[in-house]
Amino acid sequence: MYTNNWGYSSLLNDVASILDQIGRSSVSRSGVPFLGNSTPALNIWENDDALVLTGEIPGVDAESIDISVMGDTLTLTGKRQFSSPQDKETPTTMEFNRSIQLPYRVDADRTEARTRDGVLTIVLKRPDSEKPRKISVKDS
Amino acid sequence: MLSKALAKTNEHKMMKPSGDGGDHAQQPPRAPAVAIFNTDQAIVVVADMPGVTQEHVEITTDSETLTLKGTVAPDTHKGFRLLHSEYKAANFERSFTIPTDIDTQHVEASVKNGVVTLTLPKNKAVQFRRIKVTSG
Repeated sequence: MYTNNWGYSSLLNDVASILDQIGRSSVSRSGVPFLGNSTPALNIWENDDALVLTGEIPGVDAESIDISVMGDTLTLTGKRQFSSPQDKETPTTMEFNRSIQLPYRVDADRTEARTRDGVLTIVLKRPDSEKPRKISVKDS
Repeated sequence: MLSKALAKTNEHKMMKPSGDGGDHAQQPPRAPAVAIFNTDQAIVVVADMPGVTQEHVEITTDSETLTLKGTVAPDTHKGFRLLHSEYKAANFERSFTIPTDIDTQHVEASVKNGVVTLTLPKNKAVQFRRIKVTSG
């Protein structure tokens, strides 16, 4: 039911951990040195009222994060600035940009997001039309 | 290469994600991604440890090894069902072999936005110095 990148996310995890082991994480889940379009890694939770997305974004300032929601699509962009101790004058900026398709539409007006110590949490409320409805069964 | 000499990961502790997200208490620790820099005065280690705060970083050294640990709160949400998991919020741990010319008494560390920066000063004797040449 859920399409796009969810199916191969565990393959990306395996690739990232192998590359990290040999010291060259060009596919970096945590943002050093390369951020791509599958960053950040996200966990997705749901209950009857809302979706919660959590992601690890070490080194990213809250002000640089942009979250937009349209229908069932969430787009997350942000920047990480880094100053190398060898060259403090020229900071490097790394950007990420990820779009993810949610399992249903969410209410963009009631979305909240916060970051804390490099962890991002996004709460997306489900509109009534997208909440599960209990159907009662009559015995006739 | 200095960074290779420094980094000896606890590879047997690297976890294989299984897409389950959940039970934090039973996760083996994961090694944080690091970048290691060599300056004239020090070796600087930058480690990504999202979710770690100052009180939850532990740095220990003995004569040969520097160990960096960080604990994080689990990624759980009471009353919610996990739909999809791409990472597990396990604790962090990584060890490094220290070159002998590091002044382990004066290691400094700071944390910001889940990134730990460790500065390992070099002993004065081995700091890079330009020698002035006089003529005459």
